Order: sequence, then C-alpha cells, then structure tokens
Amino acid sequence: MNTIAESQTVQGKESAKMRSPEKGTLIAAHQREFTRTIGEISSPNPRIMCRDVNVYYGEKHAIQNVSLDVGHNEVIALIGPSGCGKSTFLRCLNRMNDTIVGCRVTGSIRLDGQDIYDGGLDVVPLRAQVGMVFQKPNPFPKSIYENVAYGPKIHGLANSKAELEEIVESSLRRAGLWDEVKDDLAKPGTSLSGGQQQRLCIARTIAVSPEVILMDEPCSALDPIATAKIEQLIDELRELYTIAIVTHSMQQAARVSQRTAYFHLGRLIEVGDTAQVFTNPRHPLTEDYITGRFG
Amino acid sequence: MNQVTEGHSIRRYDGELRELHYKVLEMGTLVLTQVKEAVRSLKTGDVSLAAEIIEEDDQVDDLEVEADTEVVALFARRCPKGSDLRLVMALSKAITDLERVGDEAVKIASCVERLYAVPADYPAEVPRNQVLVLADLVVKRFESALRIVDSWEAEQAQQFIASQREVSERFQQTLGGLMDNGGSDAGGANRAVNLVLVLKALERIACHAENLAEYVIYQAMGLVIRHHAV
Repeated sequence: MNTIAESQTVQGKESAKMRSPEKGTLIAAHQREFTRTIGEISSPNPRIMCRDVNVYYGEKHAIQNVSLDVGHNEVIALIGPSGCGKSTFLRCLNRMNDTIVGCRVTGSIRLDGQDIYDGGLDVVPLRAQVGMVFQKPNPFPKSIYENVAYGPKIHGLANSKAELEEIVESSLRRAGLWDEVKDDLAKPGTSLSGGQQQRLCIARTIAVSPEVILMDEPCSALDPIATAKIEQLIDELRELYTIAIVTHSMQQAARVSQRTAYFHLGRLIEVGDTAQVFTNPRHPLTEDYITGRFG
Repeated sequence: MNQVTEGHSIRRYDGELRELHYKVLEMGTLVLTQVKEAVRSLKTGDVSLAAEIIEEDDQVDDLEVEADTEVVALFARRCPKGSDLRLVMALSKAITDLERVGDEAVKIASCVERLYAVPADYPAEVPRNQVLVLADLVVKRFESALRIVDSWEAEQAQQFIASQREVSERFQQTLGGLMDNGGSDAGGANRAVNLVLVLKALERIACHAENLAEYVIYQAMGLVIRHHAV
C-alpha cells in the first residue's frame, strides 16, 4: 500500500539523488580543495598584471613575491593589518615608491601589457594613467576650478579654454560634486568640507583621463555620509576605470569591491571574490583577520 | 563547548556568540523534552500529558523570539564575517528548525488526544508499538543532533548525516507495517490516520535533526549540502 506521505518521501529523496551529488562526495571534494588553494591571482580580463613583485626598503623586505592581476572595470580591495604591505603594493602600481630613498622594486608590473618599470618609461604620464587618491584630502591651495584644470593643462589635454572648462565640468560631474560647487568655482578648494575635498581630489584625478585609480584609505577621514558618497562614486567610476582601494574598513571592502586581496607581513595570503572572502575565507590568517581574531 | 565562539580581540563578542549558542541549546533541550513527553504520552495513552505538551509550546515560541532578537542584534552590532557569519547563520536556521520540531511534538500530542479520546477506538498494541520503536530511534537521533550542535564537531555531523538513509528506510518499513495492520471500520481508519500522522511527525523531526547536522558542516566548512541526497 502506498500513501501520500510515503510517496512524497520516496519521490523527494529519489529526485534529490538524481539531480545532485551525494553529500559525502561534496564534503570530500571540499576537504581536498581546502588544503590546496589561496585563491585565483589572475583575471580573465587583466588591466594590471603583477608577477613576483618584491619591494625592499633598504634591508627590509616589505613585499614578498606578490603576483596579482586587476581586471578591467573591477574594484579590488587590498586589506590587511597595519604594516602588511598593502599600501606599499598599491604605490608600486604607479611607481610612487620611486620617490622613497632606498626603495627597490623587483618583478614585473604591466599596465595593458606595458612594463611600467621599463627603464625608458616616463613616470609623469604613467601617474596620469594611474591616478591616486590619498587618505587625507590634499587639494592644491588654489581655486576649485584650478584644482581640476591643473592636470589637463600640464598634460596638454585641452586645446582651448572652452575645452578645459568642459573637462573641469565633466570631471566635477563624474565626481558628484558639480551641483555643489558650480557657483563657487573660484573659491579655494580648501574651503570645502572634508568629503567635498576628497571628491575634488577624485575629480582632479579623473580630469587627466586615467585608466586606473588607486585609492589609499580614501574615506578614513570622512564621516559616514561623506563615506557613502565616495563609495557610491567608486561604484559609478568602475564603469570607466579600474580601481584598487586600500581600506582598513572590512565593511567598506565588502561594499565596494568585486575582489578582495588579503596581505599579511608582506605576502599576499589570499585573493578571491569579495563575497567568498568574507563568508568563507580559505586561509586561516584571512579568517582570523576578518573575524577580528587577529592578535 | 567548542571554541568556535572564542578568540576575538573584542571579548564581549565572544560572550554574545556564546550566549546565542546557549540560547539555541536551551531551546533544543526544551524541545527534546517536548518530543520525549509526546512519545511518552503515546506510549501510556496519557491524554492530560498530551494536553500539557500542547499548552507548553508557547515556551518554545518565546525562546524562538528571544533567540531571533539576539541574532538581529549580532548582525546590527558586530557585522559577523567568515566563520562567525556562518555560525550566526547556522544558529539562526537551527532556531527555525527547533521551533518546527516543537510543532511536530505538538502534532504528536494532538494525535494522542484523538487516538485516546474514545476507549473503544484505542490503537491496537502492534501498530502502536511499531511507531514507538521508530519514535525511540528518532528521539535518540534528535538528541545526537543536539550534542553535535553543542560540540560543533563537523566529523560527527558527517557521520550523522551518513546514517540518515537508515532512518528513512526504517520509516518506510514502519509505514508499510502500519498499512498492513490498519483497520477497515470507522474507528480503524481514525487509528490508522492518526498513527500515520504521528509517523510523519517523527519523520519530520528526523529531517530537522539532519538539518542541524548540516548547519554544523556549513559552519565548519562553509559548505551547503542541503537538498543533496544522503
């Protein structure tokens, strides 16, 4: 005799068996993977390719054999405890470390296939291609207009005053600042609030048509509302640029990035999709850091 | 208690996770008592005991609300990540399963009230004992599942899940036995239906116990294995 209860039970289990692997198989596969990988360093569509990057400050080996791709239209978050090398690595991407006496970089960093450490490469256009936004907003002691216009002027990106004005307006618009400052363009950039100053710095970076924007803790000096505006801006800018952001806020990393890379004592410990890193990190060091067990 | 809740730089966070874990275990213990009492009421035909079980279900519901409130507070205050996030999610889902086990215990108690309403319609010993044999197995399994949630031992959880197939087979056998022993008169139909409903409730409890073991595996490994065959 067959009852409704019986047939539901049998059919439920049988159909589950037919469409899915057994639970034991899944667990065994997971355990094999668990011991093998700390994530995928490469990107299917890389804009920046770093291989075996080492950075030395004199005798100190600050970055050790880091290999990592950053894809087109991707936001990658670099996280890790203070002194782990995440900012040092970020600064390698537009050769900002060149300005530090005793700093030596080895390995390969390519931007769209071009080795940025090629001896013949001019770093000035490189730093326009790979712009940077710092922790503390640092507008020039000039007008809002001049802050944005300065880069296009020195890089010769505008052929006329009208073209320059167009660049300034479009940059301020993309930075989400135009409506707030359009009537005060002659005012000093330093007269703006902290959040507005940071968006002005982003507008300044955008004005020279970069391909990549590096952000080193861009919201650490901002209140939650100004932070939200910058995070919204990052999300919008991703459509046009590749963005690498160093942040101490794991919530921010989780909110703004598609991939997250965890650094520890100069090594890249784990990289993966942001959701995976924050829900199921593979490396115990990542786990300890993101759960607040880092001692 | 396993160390899954321990070791945060903010020690109060350890305490909050531990408290939620305790709350779930407290709820589990209460529900286990409910299930045991429901089975005892079937064994003894104690209708007043069955009524008590139905009445006391509010305690489980209250604990569910309290535990859910703690889960929400943890999300709001701590934004758990990694294994902590999986722990809170696992405990949150366990809360729902435990509340439903409580509901199944109430269903069994309601069946007991119907089975023993009229002396002439009391269930015959043979089919009732068939159900009671399965009930003892289910109680033991639910108890084991609670121990696994207490210790967070993923290996034990795996073994537990591996043995679920045997429970399903025993359920099928018992169901077949009940059908063979069902009565053809009106009272017989009442008895058969109620015993099948008890059996179904027991099967659901076994499934919820399996869910608890699956949550332990999810917490330990980040692996979702529900909806896959045993």
